[in-house]
Amino acid sequence: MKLITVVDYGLGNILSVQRAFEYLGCKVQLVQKGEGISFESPVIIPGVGAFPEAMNRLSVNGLTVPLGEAAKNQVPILGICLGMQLLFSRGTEHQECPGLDLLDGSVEKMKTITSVSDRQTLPSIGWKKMEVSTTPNDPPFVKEIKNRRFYFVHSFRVSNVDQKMIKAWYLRNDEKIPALIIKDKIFGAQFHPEKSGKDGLEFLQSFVEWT
Amino acid sequence: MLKRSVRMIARLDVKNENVINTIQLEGLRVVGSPNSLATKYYHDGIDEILLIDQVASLYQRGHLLDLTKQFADNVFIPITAGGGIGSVDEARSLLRAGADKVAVNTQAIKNPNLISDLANEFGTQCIVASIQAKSTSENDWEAFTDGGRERTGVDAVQWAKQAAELGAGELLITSIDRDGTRKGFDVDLMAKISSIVSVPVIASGGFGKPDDAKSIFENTYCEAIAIADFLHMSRGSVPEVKEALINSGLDFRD
Repeated sequence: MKLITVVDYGLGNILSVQRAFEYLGCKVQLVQKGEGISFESPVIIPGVGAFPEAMNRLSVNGLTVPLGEAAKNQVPILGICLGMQLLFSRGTEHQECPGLDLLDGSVEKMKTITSVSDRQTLPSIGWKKMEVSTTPNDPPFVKEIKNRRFYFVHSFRVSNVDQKMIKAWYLRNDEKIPALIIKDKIFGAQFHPEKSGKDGLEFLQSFVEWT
Repeated sequence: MLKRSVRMIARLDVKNENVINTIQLEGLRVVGSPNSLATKYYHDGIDEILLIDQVASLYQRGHLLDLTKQFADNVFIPITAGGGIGSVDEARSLLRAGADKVAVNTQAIKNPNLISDLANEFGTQCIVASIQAKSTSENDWEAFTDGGRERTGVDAVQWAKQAAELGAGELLITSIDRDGTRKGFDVDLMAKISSIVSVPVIASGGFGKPDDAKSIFENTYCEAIAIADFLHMSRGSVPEVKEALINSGLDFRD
């Protein structure tokens, strides 16, 4: 039975992430403190909430350094939603705040648009199909995203990122919103695979199988 | 131009351990177990589940946590839960029990800062301001609380705008007049509110036939609809509702 580590820093719907992996037959270990991060199993960083609060909690619980060490040691890390955003260099919610800095880039608020023809609300919520750009070396779960829908609910997006890292995105008017980011063994999903029904569960299954 | 994304939400109003059907928010028949209905709708392709404990303002709310936890075992789509939530701690318990979003109504009207407190703690995407509105004249609606029982004297449309400004990430607008009548949504109410806020609006109350979905999206900026008795009473299915949106120019999960 595959062991999955889920970082529980008190923000977001941890139970759903846990149940999704358990549904797939994995054993889930919830870790609240840095000492719990080993190099033995893939690490999932979930999260819904505010960037500065999240970084504060990760820091207070001694999680930031071990996560950096895990990344250096090629432990697969999957950040979901806010968890993906935290992987980057800095966030701009409320105030400028450093992130885990495992990936270069920043996190910025998207804009609302109130004109009649191009109206866009925030948070950006919906089951979106993504555009996918893969290379032969990519894990199968990248290609498998095509034509499936995944659930998004977010007001912030990742920006200033090396385009090569962006494997999937969705369009919000003219803006390409990064949805799946990969660099080495660090993965970020802006969508919620644990909330995307059967397609989401299959994505997680494929991720687990690949790691 | 991109198509607008819209969502179909199954609304379960519960009293103790049962889903009830309401007409103008008066609870009537017991129609089934929340978990079995939610699971069925999940497998039928519904986009989200809304779980509201209608009597939580009057009585205790332990059931809401239990039900939410049950859903987390087999329903892998977003769950919004609410009923009597009045503090950050109560919201935290609900989120940790498996809810993705928390809906607040009564306590938020009594203390509007609840919305901003919750948004600051959990993020706007976790907070749904639930507003029950009853028409008082042709273009005015009053907000009600406590499961539609108590008048507030507050203008529902203005309150909706304020709730969004305070940090609600979504507005769930229920027409008390239309609830349970199957006569279609209160399009005027929904059009008014959805045009003055820049957060997603969910229309609730009155869904009677699949065409009501098309009509609300065509005539308002609503991004989601809540469907209750149409599903609970098996008058139709989730696929039938979605079928009505084919060729509508809308983006939805089929």
